[in-house]
Amino acid sequence: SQLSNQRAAMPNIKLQSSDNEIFEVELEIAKQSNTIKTMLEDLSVSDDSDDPVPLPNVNAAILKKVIAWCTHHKDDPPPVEEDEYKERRTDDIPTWDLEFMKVDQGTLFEIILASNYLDIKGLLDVACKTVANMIKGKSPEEIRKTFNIKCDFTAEELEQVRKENEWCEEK
Amino acid sequence: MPEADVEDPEPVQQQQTKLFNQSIPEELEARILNLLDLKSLIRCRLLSQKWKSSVDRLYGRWGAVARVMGFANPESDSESGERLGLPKLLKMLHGDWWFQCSLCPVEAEADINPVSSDAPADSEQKLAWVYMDYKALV
Repeated sequence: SQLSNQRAAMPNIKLQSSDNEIFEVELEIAKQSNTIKTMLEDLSVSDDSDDPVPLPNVNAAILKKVIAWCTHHKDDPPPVEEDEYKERRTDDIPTWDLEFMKVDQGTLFEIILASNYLDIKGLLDVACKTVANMIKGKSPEEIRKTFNIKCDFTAEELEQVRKENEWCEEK
Repeated sequence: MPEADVEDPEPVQQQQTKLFNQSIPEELEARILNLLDLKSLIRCRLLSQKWKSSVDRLYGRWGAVARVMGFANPESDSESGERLGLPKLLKMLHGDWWFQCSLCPVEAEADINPVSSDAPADSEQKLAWVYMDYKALV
């Protein structure tokens, strides 16, 4: 079929995870990672090269997730430069991404690190927004419980911070 | 943030709630905190010493106050609800001396403008001064 012909024509590259698993990915999908894109350009790796691109900072489980995200978003327009002065919203995560981010916190943490290392802005954004949404609107105790944070303030210190924060809690 | 207690065997639920107990790089921590609304951000100062340091390092006490003023953006359509980030707000307020404040995170930009000669020395006064400036703008 035409579709399978198109697929066959798509150049692939191989990505090697830190635990030595090889993933074969369409070049255009892999190039959503600016890190991979730059590596390919710098190393002048040809499209039909059989040598895997080593990604020593990403294990297979996380790389699989990253590739799944990049595959789903392969037709997205390139991310735009945002006005760094603007406060950004977090309630605009697409439904597919919301489902994608329903993972344990260890995995979420690894996705953040991996998307930062691989320089995939869209994925990093959505992962950070997911964490921000886990904090927003919660009481300090609820946030501590969510992230298993131990409060290491003394009673006096805690009272002092409360006083400092009063202006913000006031209606 | 405090190190996770690796010696105690943890139930699965506990193992799954370690995100901020791991050493997240500062730039990523900042990226997440920058996505919070002011109230949530300030509440994070109550979580632990580490969280308080992170928020204060990013914004400073007065920077956070400035941020609340930035809730309405005088430069934008009043119905858009658009908010300003701290650096823009500070520039907008012509708050040159903010850059000299020891709690201010944007000291690197101190050379943008000279320090105003009539800036109050006391932080509380500075705050009131900025607020008046802000009110005058809106």
